[in-house]
Amino acid sequence: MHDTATLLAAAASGDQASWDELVRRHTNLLWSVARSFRLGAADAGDAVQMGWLRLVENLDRITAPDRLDSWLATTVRRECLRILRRTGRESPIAGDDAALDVPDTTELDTKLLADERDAELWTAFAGMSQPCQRLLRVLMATPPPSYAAVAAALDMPIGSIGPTRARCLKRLRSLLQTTGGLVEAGDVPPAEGSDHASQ
Amino acid sequence: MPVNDGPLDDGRPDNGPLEAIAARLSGAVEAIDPAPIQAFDLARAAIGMRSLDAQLLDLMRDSAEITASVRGDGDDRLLSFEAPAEPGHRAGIVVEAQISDDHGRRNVMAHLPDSVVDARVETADGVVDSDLDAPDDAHDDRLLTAYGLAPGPVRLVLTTEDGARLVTSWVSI
Repeated sequence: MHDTATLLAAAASGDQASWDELVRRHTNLLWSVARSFRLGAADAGDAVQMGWLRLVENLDRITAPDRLDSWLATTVRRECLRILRRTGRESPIAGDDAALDVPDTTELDTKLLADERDAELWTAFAGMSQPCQRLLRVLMATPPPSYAAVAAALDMPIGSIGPTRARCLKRLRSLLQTTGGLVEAGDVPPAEGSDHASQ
Repeated sequence: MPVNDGPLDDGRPDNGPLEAIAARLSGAVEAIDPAPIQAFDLARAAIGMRSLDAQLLDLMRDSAEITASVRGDGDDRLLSFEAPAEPGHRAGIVVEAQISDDHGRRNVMAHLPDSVVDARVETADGVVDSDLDAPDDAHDDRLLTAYGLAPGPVRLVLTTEDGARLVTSWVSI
């Protein structure tokens, strides 16, 4: 598997397959970033597309290819903020949900989740504070993003990602305990290729 | 990455492995809100929009960077593009564009240097209809207009009288 620097150089030379591999690796993260800002599907799609178009026009300016995920995440975050501001929704400041009037997690179709416990998990997730939803939404992208990319996506100090992740997961577990949807003790993360790890 | 899984803040025993919850949530996200196929298609197509022979004009100012509460709702969006101060690039070229909303569609009005002899508006789907006003003897800015664009990414592609090609950074309007 080629590293990012090799793929970027090949893409800059016109190799479509290398570009496609970059797209395959990072598009889910960028979608998660846009959705973490509670953008609707059309706006989220615009923000993601803008991230890739900006990369195309800056292909010769990327000086740290190993941090491409952070560069893309930052670019999409800025685009999301532009979209929110120009549509009068402002930026989603931590703890400030009143300024937002956009589709959120509760509007997604939980019927797509075959397991009832997963539906309860999603409902509990949708009931969390916006900062926790935002962080977990980006962290749960597939493949799992680096903490550096998550920090760039959310404009958070990288050192706060791990502790905040743990705090938010504990909060989620607490919500599940109150709704009865707690994952049973002894459950283990699903193996790759299981029904939970793929669509 | 494992999380130290101690007692809950309220002192209750900690009997739900957090990583199991994280794994289930990740699976739920992938099932319920994956990046749509179209997002991948547009991303793959983006490399075809590369302009190797054109100088990039960077977006230097965007009134959308100012919060709406300061800007005032309903105001047109103002964009300013300039050539970066890099070796080999022509300096001093400024393109100002005004974006207005027209019942969910977008109108573009751009002021271009009088050295521009050809200009067009591009979207990710291709060139859209636009009009470049005729040059005059007073060396005033030339005006490029396009009406009724669908919201989404656009850029301006310009040719100057000495044959140089300029392209603005993409902006989502």
